[in-house]
Amino acid sequence: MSRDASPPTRGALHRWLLPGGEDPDPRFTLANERTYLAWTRTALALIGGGVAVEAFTAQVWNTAARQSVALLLLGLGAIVAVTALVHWIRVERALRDRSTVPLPLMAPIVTVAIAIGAVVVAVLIIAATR
Amino acid sequence: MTTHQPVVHGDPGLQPERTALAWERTTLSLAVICLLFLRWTDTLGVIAFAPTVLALVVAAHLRLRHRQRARRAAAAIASERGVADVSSALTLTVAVVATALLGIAIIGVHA
Repeated sequence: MSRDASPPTRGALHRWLLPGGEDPDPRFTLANERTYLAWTRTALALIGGGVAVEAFTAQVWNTAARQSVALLLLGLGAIVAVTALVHWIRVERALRDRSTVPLPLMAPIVTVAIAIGAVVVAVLIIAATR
Repeated sequence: MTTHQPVVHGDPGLQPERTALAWERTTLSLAVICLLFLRWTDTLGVIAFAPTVLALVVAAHLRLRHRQRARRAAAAIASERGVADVSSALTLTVAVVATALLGIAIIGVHA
């Protein structure tokens, strides 16, 4: 049973990216961290999809179709990964300032992009199996 | 705290555990995706191992910081002061973006 009551210290990186305000409820900080990780896994799913398309569809799709789908998935994955970090910082700043938590701007964009992507891939699969 | 006793925290909502598991799932996903790059060992040779090695090193690093994060979370709950883990998040995002860029680079090589 060692329950360390001394608070975690703020490093230089922390003071630079999250200046001002005061340390929020740790449950909010941890919830924000899990949200960031969930977005990062969303990015990883897109990246994994892109790598898988480039790696395993050479026999079914033509080069242009394969490379455009893979590029779109990898590009969207990279954008979602960066946005996840930016959103995490913005939420953490809002928590420190006790202000309103910002909405995730990527949510509707990712939803539309995945829906379009699913339709394109479905069309390509049907075209390839004819 | 160098022994392998579990880190004790005071949160009945189990937030430190859930956050630790979220880190586990994420680093595991990163490691699995990097293994996909091994598909290209026949065309790219040793270069195909580069993203795997890079990402596995990052995943191992984040995994090794697991206990440190657990202690941090326990201390944050005990002191009621949340201090975000900036360096772990930065490391992870850089690794994820690097993986995506390596994938794009490989498409370029194949083009």
